[in-house]
Amino acid sequence: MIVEMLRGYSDAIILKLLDQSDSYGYLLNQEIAKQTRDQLKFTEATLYTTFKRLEQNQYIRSYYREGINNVMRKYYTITDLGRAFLSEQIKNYEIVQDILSIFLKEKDIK
Amino acid sequence: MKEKIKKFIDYEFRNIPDSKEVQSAKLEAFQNLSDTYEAYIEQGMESNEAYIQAINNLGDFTQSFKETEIKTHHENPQWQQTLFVIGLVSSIFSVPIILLSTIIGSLILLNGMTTFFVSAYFYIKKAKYILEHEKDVDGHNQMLKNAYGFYHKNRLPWLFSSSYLLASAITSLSSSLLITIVFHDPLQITDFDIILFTLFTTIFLFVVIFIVMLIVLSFINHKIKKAYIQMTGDHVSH
Repeated sequence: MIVEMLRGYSDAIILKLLDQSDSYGYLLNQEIAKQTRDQLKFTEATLYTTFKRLEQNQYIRSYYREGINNVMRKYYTITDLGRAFLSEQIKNYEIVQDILSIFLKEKDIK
Repeated sequence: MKEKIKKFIDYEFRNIPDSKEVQSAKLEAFQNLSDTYEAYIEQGMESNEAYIQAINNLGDFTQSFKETEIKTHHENPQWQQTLFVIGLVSSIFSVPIILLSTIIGSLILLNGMTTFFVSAYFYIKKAKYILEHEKDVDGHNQMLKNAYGFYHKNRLPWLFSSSYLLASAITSLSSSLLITIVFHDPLQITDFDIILFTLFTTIFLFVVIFIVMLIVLSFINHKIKKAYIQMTGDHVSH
């Protein structure tokens, strides 16, 4: 359920991590799992769809580089357009959080 | 095990037209799942369990490429191979027996067909079970290949026996009508005429019905073959 709710934020989560360093699917997922204590992990299909969408919108670019085990991997890097979009997404998230907190505070439940 | 991962990914993409983009997606998924598998092994997980856990991270690519998802079942029956053999033997025996006794022959034919369809139904369910729970594409395809193979062997006996059955049923009806005419007899038809009429009508109808059934069965065969290819991603050599 939580994973489903967070799926809408997959673009922002991936962009945020790529803003810290270039990476590829497996490493990104490992980082997400580590930071969320395994509460969130994207499937390969979700990752692929997210990368595809972000690349089409020119928020990220891909290139090939050696990854772990000396295997060539498809790395992703964030673009300036991606950073601008991420910044906008963070602002939107704060607004959404404020709105939701008005209606969904647990203490208000009778 | 890496080969098994690759096979599973190929299977998941089997209905998606091949392209550079698809190849790239498959390679990326394969590399990521291989890393995931290795990580599970390093954590001390048993090889098959690590494979299943890694494959569970694949997700559904059909949305990305707008393809239909596979529905799966949860049964694991065991006894169908014997039924397949019994069904095939019945179907083959129905051919000579139906020439001697239509009733006994048709009962044997019915037994052959029913036995085959019951076993094929459970075989397909078992194949889906293997795919869903064991993520074993080879096992899944082997099950379906077995069922399809038996269907293929049954086709000719079914075609021959059912054509003959229909032909003799229609001839029998025609002969009865002819005998009724004889009793009212404006034309003085003899017994010899009835025998000749029965013989030629049976042969003629058998040929006609055989051709019609051949066309109908070819159509059904085409549908079954298409379903088989779609389910296995394999191309039949028959």
